[in-house]
Order: sequence, then structure tokens, then C-alpha cells
Amino acid sequence: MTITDTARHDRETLDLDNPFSTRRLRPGAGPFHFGPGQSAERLLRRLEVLGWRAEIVGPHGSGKSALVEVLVEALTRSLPANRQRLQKGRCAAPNESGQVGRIAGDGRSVNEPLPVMRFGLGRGIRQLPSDWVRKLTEVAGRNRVPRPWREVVRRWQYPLARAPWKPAALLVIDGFEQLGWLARRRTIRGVRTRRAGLLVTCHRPTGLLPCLVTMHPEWETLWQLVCRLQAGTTARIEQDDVTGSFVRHAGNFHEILCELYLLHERRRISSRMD
Amino acid sequence: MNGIGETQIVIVLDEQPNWYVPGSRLSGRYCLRPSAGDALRAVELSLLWYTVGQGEEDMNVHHFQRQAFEESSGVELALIDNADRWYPFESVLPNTPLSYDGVIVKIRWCVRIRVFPVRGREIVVEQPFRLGNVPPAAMVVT
Repeated sequence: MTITDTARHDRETLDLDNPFSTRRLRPGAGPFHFGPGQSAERLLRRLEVLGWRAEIVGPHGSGKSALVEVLVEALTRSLPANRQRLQKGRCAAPNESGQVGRIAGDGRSVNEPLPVMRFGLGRGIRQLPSDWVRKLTEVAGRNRVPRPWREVVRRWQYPLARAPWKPAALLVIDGFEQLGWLARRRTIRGVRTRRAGLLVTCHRPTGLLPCLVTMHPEWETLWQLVCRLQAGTTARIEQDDVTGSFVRHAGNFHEILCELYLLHERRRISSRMD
Repeated sequence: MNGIGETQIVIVLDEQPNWYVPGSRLSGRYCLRPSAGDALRAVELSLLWYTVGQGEEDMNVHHFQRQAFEESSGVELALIDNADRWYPFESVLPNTPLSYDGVIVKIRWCVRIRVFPVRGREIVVEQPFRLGNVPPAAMVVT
């Protein structure tokens, strides 16, 4: 019987697998690099302050989808911030699945997780599924404004967004700019009437939602990403390659990483043939 | 041998040729070495292929087996705690897809062990192997 050296195989596989392949780059495959002073907890806190409706703005390939992945993950897992809120008696404990319950005091079971409905637009998909409202209603239920606040809103025209509430669900739309002007407004209205939260990504500010964060592609972030991806493998991408690609593609991480993938392959094959 | 935290997983293939002939038999065994006090809920073994590359990924499981450890069956857990226990596996490999080391896409075959501890995150260990002997791609410079 031959004992297989798994570690050796792992090294070989790592070396054969291009560090810029899809499986290494997909959102959630590695840690997200936050800007200075930012973290998932801070952004979620800011989302709460903004009334659970906000947009993440940034050019194509700047990491918006990756950030959404991180935030959704943080929302459905037990974060230190959530535990802290639990101690303050404001938030429910995570359930068996590790999901965080809703804020107590809204008349619901505190151990229910916050459902997240997520849609990705683009690549030919320019509209939400026709039954998204029904699905959102199903997951959000009847999360109505408490009666006293309904009176305040009706009599005094008090902005609904300022009423103390927590969303019954969070609708996440990646690529909000794909929707037309009317569809965007309908979506926001549909979410508002169902008392759900809305988090979208878009290339430019829509003017319809407050901005949660603006993404700026930076060379340092890209270089850190490249170093992390190449860790444990034969590094075939140098700093100059990254700089040249960053300039050529104007900071579009998708295009840059595609180019680095091919460059890595070319050098790997060349070294094999030498 | 691989270890994450204190849990160690060893995958052993009975034979280790450079490449397996399509339709041939692949057999081996795996061993779990959790640290004392660690309990496992289940262990899954998959013999699968997946693609690696620039585009959409694909994968398919050719052989699957699951070993569940009931909380009530203290004997099973105790055995794992005290001594190495080997779990055999065996499967007849399919004819396709063959392992391929391309530029845009690569096809990888592996034996994957997924361990679900009672506490903490799941642990995944892979043992790659080659099915067929397709030569690797060469890049054409135009």
C-alpha cells in the first residue's frame, strides 16, 4: 500500500491552478479588503442608520458584488456587533443555523432570521423576476408600522422612513442600473410598502437611495489581492505587471484579473517548456 | 495528511499511478484523527471532477458516500477518539471527462473528504488524481 502524500499533491494542485481562476476570485472565496476605517459591522450599522435602504456605488469591477457578499454573510451570521446588541437587549440570539434574529419588540418571534432575497442583474438580465413582489411578501409577511406610528404618519405627514422599525426582509439587487427609471421607482415603492430593506449596487448614484459606500479601485488594494492569491504558489506576476494592467484597464478589477490570468498561464507554460 | 486545527484527515489511495485508465477501479481509504474531545457529526466522501479556469465553473460527483455519527452512538465517537479508524472507499472510474490541463479551462479529478464537526466549521480535504493521459495544452502565440 502506498501512502499518498496529500500535502505534496496540494502543492502541485495549487501550482497548477491559476491563482486568478474563477474559483479563487468568486465573491466570498477570500477575505474582503475594506478601506480605511471600514468594516462589515460599521457598514451594517450605517445601513441601519440609513433606514435599511441604501446603494453601493462604484464603477464596474470595483468590488461591489464582493462587498454585498460580505454584508449578506455578516447579516446572516453572528457578528460581534450582533452579539453586542444582544447584550443590550436589542437583538435576538443567533438561531441554530447561526442566523441572527430580528429586533425584539416588533411583535414577532425574536429568533426568526432576517431573510435576504438576492437578485443579480446584467448579462442580458435587465428586469427582476415577475413574481418578486409575491416572494418578498411571502418572506416579509405583514410587517406593518405599529398603529401609533401609522397615526403619526397619517396626521402629521411624518416621514415613514423615520418611524422606528426593522425590516422583515432585505432585498438585495446587484446591478440596479440595469432597471429602467420607472422600474427602479416601482421597486423602491414595492419594498417600502412591504416594510422590507433594500440594498442595491449601481455604477452611478441613482438619486433615489442614500449612498452606503462609494467604491474606488485602488492600486494598493489590487496589489494586496494579487499577493494574497499568489501566496503558496510560484509567483509569476510581478509588481510591474499589476501596475501596467491597472493603467491599461483604468482600475477595472475584472479586466485586470482576466489579463493576469492569461499572463500567468503564458509564463507557466513557458517555464514548463524550458 | 492534512490538518486544520487539531483534526487530521489522511487519504490513502491503494495504488498511485501517474494516471488512471478510464473505466479502471480506484480504491483507497481515509482516516480521521480528531483531537480528544472533538466530536464529528458526519463525514462525506465524494469522488468528483470540477473545472478550473476563467469562466463559469462546472462539477459533477461520480461517487458519494456519507458516514453519519449519531450522537447516541457513543461507541463510534469513542473509537475515533481513541485510535485511527480507516474507512475504505472504492469506485469504478468513468470514461469521461478526462483530466485536462488547458489554458482557459482545466478539468480536475479528486477524492474529497468533507468533515462536519459538531462544533465549528466544516473541513474539506482533497486528494487529486489524473484520469486519462491527455497532454497539457500549449499556448499558441499569434
